Amino acid sequence: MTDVLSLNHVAKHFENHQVLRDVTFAIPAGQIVGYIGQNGAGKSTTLKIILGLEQPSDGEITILGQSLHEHRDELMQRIGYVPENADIFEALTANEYLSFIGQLYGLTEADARYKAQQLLTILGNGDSFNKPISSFSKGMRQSVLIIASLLHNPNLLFWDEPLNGLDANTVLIIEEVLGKLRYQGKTIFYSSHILDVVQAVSDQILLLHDGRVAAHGTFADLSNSTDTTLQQLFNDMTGFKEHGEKAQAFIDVLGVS
Amino acid sequence: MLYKKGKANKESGLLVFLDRFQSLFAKRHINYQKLRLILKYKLLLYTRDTSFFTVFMQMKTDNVKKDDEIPTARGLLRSLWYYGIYGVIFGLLLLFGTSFSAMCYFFLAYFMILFTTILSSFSSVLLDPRDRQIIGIRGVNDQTLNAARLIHISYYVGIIAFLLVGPAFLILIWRASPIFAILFLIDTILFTIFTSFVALLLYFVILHTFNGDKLRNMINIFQVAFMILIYAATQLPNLLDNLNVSFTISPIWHWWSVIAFPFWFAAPLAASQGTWTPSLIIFTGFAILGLILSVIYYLHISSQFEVMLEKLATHSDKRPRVGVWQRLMVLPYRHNLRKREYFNLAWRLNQTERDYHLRVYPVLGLTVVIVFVFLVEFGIDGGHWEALLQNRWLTLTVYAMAFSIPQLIINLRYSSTPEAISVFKIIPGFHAHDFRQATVWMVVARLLIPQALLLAVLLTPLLGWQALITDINATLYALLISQIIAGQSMRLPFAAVYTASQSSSLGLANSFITVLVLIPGVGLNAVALLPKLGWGNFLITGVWLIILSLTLYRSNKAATISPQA
Repeated sequence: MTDVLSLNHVAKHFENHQVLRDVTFAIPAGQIVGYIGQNGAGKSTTLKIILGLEQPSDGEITILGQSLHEHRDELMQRIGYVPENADIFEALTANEYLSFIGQLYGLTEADARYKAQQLLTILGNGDSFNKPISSFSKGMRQSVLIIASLLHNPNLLFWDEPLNGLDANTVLIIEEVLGKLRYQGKTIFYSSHILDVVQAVSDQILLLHDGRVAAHGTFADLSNSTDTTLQQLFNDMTGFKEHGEKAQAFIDVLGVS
Repeated sequence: MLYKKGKANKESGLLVFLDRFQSLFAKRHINYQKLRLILKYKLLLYTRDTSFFTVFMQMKTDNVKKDDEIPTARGLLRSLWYYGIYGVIFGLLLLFGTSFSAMCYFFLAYFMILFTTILSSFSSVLLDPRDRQIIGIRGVNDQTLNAARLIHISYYVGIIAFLLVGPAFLILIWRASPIFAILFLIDTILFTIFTSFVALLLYFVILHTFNGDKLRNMINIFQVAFMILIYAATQLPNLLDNLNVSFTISPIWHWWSVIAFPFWFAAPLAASQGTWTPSLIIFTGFAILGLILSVIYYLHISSQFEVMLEKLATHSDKRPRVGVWQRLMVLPYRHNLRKREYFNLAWRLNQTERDYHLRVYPVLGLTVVIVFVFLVEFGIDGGHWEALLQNRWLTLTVYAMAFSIPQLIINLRYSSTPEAISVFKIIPGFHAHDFRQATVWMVVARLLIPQALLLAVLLTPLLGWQALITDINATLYALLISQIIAGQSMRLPFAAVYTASQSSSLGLANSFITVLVLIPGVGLNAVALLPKLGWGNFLITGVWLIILSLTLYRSNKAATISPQA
């Protein structure tokens, strides 16, 4: 199977602080990769490097068989990204924003607008298509971000906490969409702290810890027993076992008997 | 209100104009189609963004709108009128002549307005970190993004330059000659380009050296400085009329002319009317060299600009230092732990409220200017400074510091994050009165007392020791007024969203109260300054202290009965 994304010995340091150390992995097409790690493990930096927002201090990145360094602009046209923090032009309407994004990806204005309206309507927000995004709820903004990442039919998707703020019904739709996109051969990097969802949707798990790849493989390969959960695996890998004691300490401080 | 089809599709004249130069962009690795698209939506975006012309917007508009209402360009256009008015004033200045001196003043005033506008108001366009996150990850290279940003900013600079220079151009056609007016126009365009690139380079240096928080603070300082400058400039005629000072600038090169950018560009115009003296040649040479170097250097570093913008998203993780002044000012609460904590909390909150700084600091600056306007207006007779010392009543001008109190106190209601403090509304045992009182004392300690100290330092050498005593009296009286206004109009501090309409109506009412309370205070202090009363000024200090203590006592007593009030 051809690798859609590969990182070879990627490192990143800011002044005296080493954020990534020798990050190496390869992802084949048609996979959902659960991309997890503690806060500060280097997940966001890795994503920024892959999206060309940061330069690696060392190492090489290949996307769809091409060097990111040499073909960044063309490659970015084949990637879709949902950021964790909703960076969005709030003064624009959903119509204007999504038309703009669609056109940046090479769609005509009419196509982008038509597609965006259809998708937003399916997610139950069609009435708000011509309203400014500043008036949107958190879930509606998230819908706009998800649509913006899919308008151009990309091969590789990076979704960072994509279900943030979505209502339960929309979550169901998006989870189904994920499965269908994978079936079409698309590769999805799915990053979230809600590990039971990650476990449910992912074909592979990629765990970053302290700037290194701590684990990479199918969940079955990584877990040593059938009743292990991804949450337990995560706790083992990151060396965190004292959650029970900490919870008790927390309750003690609150003074709850 | 729903989006009206056709409005967004209306092509801007700028885009039609740029279409003619497509091939030029391709040579610089700029994707014209994407550049055009970015500009189209950016122009739409920033005519709706009410925070765009930050300085004037903060003064005049109401930021609160209905949730689904699309902001219009009206606010933006309204704010541009200010520049038109300044343009007319600049133009009228040239009615008095086109000498080197007149041209220097024109370019100096033009530079001040343009430079500070670019630094203060265009920061949201120039330094929008969302650009890379939203546009940069969608196959748009840094050159294209940077070019879009540069053209966008040039468009607004062009409009402002047109408003500032247009009237002067028309006056010069009539007052001098059409040829001179055209030379003036060309010179002004070059100066505008130079000023814009110097501002961009300054941004670059700041971005290179500091983090996001520091940069935002510095922009805040420029915004405040800009507003004080505008206020002070409006008061200049009052000051200059009474002073016999020569303001003629001779066309001679001095060592400090190296940084006198506006004079460089005034030189070729002066030379075109007379002869090319060696000094004028040097000035002109600096203008040409400065322009070329600034443009070349910016183009050289422009690709790094985008990467540097990432810094804007970074925040300082340093814990704010508790300074000596804060420790000193919290001393009155040394036996009251609750008020001490409230004071420190209010201090920290106030430090981070940039909008508060933007609304209040210029008013503080203005009151200092007003004190001096009063001084010059009432005290200087035909430029004789000696007359000041003989007129002890002039020390009363220091009471003008009280004019800033309504703004100081009323704006404490507002916050950019009102939800943060609102949590206290539901916390049992929270003493709203104590928090209000500690907050008022915080703002007095942080702003009013330093202002009083500054005035004491400036006025005591000028008016003698009586000025120091009157300064103390005025500060005590200002404290009393702040208590009255806080009692009148203050709810829970930092817990409301700013609305200009509410703020201005409260400001108006409280300014009226301030004047009403000031009149008897100043009157009584004036009587105390009668020469035959000798130490009368000290007596006033005692009287104000007693009244202030009684006011605070009554306020505390009322709070004991109802602590949640």
